[in-house]
Amino acid sequence: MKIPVAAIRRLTLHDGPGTRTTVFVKGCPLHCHWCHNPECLSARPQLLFHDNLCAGCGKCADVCSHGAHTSAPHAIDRSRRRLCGQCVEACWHGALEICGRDYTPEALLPLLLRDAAFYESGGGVTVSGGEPLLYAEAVARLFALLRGHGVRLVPSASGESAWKAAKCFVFGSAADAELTGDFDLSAISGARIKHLDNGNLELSVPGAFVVIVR
Amino acid sequence: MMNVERMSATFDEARFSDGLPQAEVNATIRRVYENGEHDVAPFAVTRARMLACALENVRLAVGRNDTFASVVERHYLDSRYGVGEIARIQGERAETVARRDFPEGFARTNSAWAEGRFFTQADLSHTSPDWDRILSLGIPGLLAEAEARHAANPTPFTESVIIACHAFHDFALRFASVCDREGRHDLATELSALAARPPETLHEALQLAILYWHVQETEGEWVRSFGIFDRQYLPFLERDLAAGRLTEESAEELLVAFFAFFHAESKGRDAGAPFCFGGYLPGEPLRDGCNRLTRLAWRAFRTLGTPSPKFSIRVNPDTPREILRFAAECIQEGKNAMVFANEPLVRKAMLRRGKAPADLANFIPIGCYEPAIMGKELSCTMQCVFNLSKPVEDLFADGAAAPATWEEAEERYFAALERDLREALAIARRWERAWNDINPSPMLSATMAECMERGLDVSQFGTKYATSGVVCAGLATAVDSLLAIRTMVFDRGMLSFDDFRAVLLADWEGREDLRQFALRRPPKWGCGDETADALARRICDLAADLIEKAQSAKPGGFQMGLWSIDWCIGIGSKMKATPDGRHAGTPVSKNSGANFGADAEGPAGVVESLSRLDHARFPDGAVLDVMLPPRTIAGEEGAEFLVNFVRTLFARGGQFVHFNSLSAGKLREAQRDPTKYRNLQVRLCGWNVRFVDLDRAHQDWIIREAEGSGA
Ligand code: SF4
Ligand code: SF4
Repeated sequence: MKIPVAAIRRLTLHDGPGTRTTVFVKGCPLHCHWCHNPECLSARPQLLFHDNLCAGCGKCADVCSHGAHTSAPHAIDRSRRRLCGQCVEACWHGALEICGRDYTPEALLPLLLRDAAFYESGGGVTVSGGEPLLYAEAVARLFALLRGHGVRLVPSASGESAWKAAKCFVFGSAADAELTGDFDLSAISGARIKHLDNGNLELSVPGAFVVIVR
Repeated sequence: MMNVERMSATFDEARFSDGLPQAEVNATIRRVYENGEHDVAPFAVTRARMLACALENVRLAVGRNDTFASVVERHYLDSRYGVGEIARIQGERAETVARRDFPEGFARTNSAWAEGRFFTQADLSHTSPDWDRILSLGIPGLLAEAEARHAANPTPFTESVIIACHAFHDFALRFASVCDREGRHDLATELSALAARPPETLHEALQLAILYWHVQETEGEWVRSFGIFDRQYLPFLERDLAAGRLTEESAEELLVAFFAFFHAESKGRDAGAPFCFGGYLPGEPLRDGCNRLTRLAWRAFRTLGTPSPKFSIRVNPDTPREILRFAAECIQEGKNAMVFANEPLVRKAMLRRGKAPADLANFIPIGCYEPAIMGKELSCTMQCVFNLSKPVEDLFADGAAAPATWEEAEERYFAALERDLREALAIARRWERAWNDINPSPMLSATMAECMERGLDVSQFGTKYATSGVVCAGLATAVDSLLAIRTMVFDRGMLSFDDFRAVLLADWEGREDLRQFALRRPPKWGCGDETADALARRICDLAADLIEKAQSAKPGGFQMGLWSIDWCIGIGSKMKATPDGRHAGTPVSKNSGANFGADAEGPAGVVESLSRLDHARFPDGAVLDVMLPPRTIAGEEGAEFLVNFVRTLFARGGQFVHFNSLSAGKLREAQRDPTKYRNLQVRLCGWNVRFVDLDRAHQDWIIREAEGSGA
């Protein structure tokens, strides 16, 4: 049971009530044009390149056995990447980063409890993304673990990813006992969201959008 | 509503109608000093006469619209405090006494400071008078007590106190006559009354505070707190409200005028006038003391929005959330001249040091964030400033053999730290003993009950508690540097120790890649990293042990502080490059926080790391600077976040915290066009300044900090 995580952000203020920690999962069935976390679209790990930090030293090219890097100017041939991570290790300037690491709910738990003291005035943990409901079972398990420590939870989901998953998340599955009654399922119905070319979403059922915690 | 600009103009255009020009005041003081030396008068008595001479002759002014009699031509003299000549004599005297009593120690403190290792000094006071006694006894009460003590047992001390109290009394009357001459009969009447009895109204109490402030600072000791303002002035306010002399509105206006005085007087060019609020009241069970005056004063603070005065609030679990929320909103507006104190933690630290539980209700932050008991403690909080990162540099000293293992490097660091600290403390002790020869302080002593009972000046440690602070700076620089050595030399074998020495000597020239590695990869203080935090803990524990156990001339002994204020710039300017990626000559880490840009986990990581230190071991204070991008603290969520942050940090054992929220872009604009940003404040260390008043080095330093926060 694994969740691919793009990033864990501490002391977030805009992902639910109070002071929170937000887990950004990787992978999303929507591909909205305005997506503010594009590194969360793909569920697979990705090599990120921060060109503002690159010193053009060429070390990444030296170590890459797949010939993915070319220097002067630095470029990455993404068709060749294998994500062995050697270039990241070789880059001392912090210009390369592998985004996406699988965590079990159990492995995430201590990381999310580090800031439990901050959650006390109404904050908690948000799982965002990406689409957390792609990993409904694992996220439900994570929530159950966190709830055991009194942490209040917000899943920030699009609702698109399979009504089934949402249902499993909220009503069904092993996590049911812990989760039912703690969530206020405000607006999920049989909604389907269509991604239009102009970058807008179309809801087949209005108001079908997010699962919100009480 | 009182206008700050107008108030400032009062100072610039003051029509001084009484007293001598500055140069003559200085010359007269010098004559009094030299006559005293010639007659072999007890120095305490000479000091009191110097004070009297200054107060008799310094020029005074009052304006038609002034709320208080407050303009004394004092800060315009060539000194940060005191009257110019008094400060000069303090300096000369300190040097003479040190050269006489401990010439080697004195030479060593100078050479150690030249290399950014440590310095020691006679910290002439980081203290607060006993405001309770000043307000309850008034000028005549202080004088009467001195006279009674003198009649029972005349000593040079009692004589000096009588002279000082008389000078205070005559100063009030002299100011009264100036007010009369200027047609301000209302103020003249009040000042005459204050010479004859304790204050009765809020206006009188505030006027007395201004007068006393001038007197003590003229004597030559900074008034580093105005006490617990809401508690001390509440009875005056309530009397006035009951008698219909004031309404809440007029009281607030009065407070604005009172606080405006401190800004107008200094124009934000000093470390700010410190006022403390809230916290537990005396007695059991513990009850928080925030009251209607707290609210009025904070409203006045917000209205004013100036760098001085600076406020502190003693925060405990019972502090009304609404007060913290109000403070947070001030910060949102850029009015951030404030620091939050963790009251339960400070109490714990004080109990550890043997302070009586009954005295804890009177703890106040002295100056910036150094806790002391008002009226009962003489705390010289900067007796010694010590650089924790210097011993790292020593590892690479010329001719020093390369350590064979990380363990050896670490042990050598700790041995050097111990050697330096012992040396610094031994010199600091000499300064403690020399103090009475340098700066007896009769006016300040007159306010301290125990000084009067024991017949001892504060400089003879007559107060109930007397302590010396040892400010330990550069923790993050030390930790990050040591772990860079460990990672790069010993764990990964990237370069030999000797090569590292060459790289540092060359200030990373040609090895930017290594520097980038050093900046990013090794474990860092302030990220919740267990290795780094354990090392920090070990450094702090060793330093605290040595400091607490060191022999001190004072009964309260030495105590550790974990802060740097802006010494981190001065220290850094004298240091070579360090293994953490720091360039030669640049600042070392500030206060108890992470290095610039090293706080990869943000403030949460810093809090996590800090929670692994025992802040009760820093009775001389420990402060975290939090720099947040303006967007983070914007709006309702932002204000709640600030409150939550303070509460959480304190729940996790932090001691003091203050905030800046600045955008680097805006600061750069202010550098380019200062006139447009005249009122932009920054919290520099434990005080606020207008950004445009800073020199370029300080400005750039603040900009780097703002950049590091992602603003
Ligand atoms: S190793 Fe890093 S800095 Fe060097 S060229 Fe590659 S990405 Fe740029
Ligand atoms: S991760 Fe490995 S395969 Fe991919 S670019 Fe870096 S070195 Fe080459």
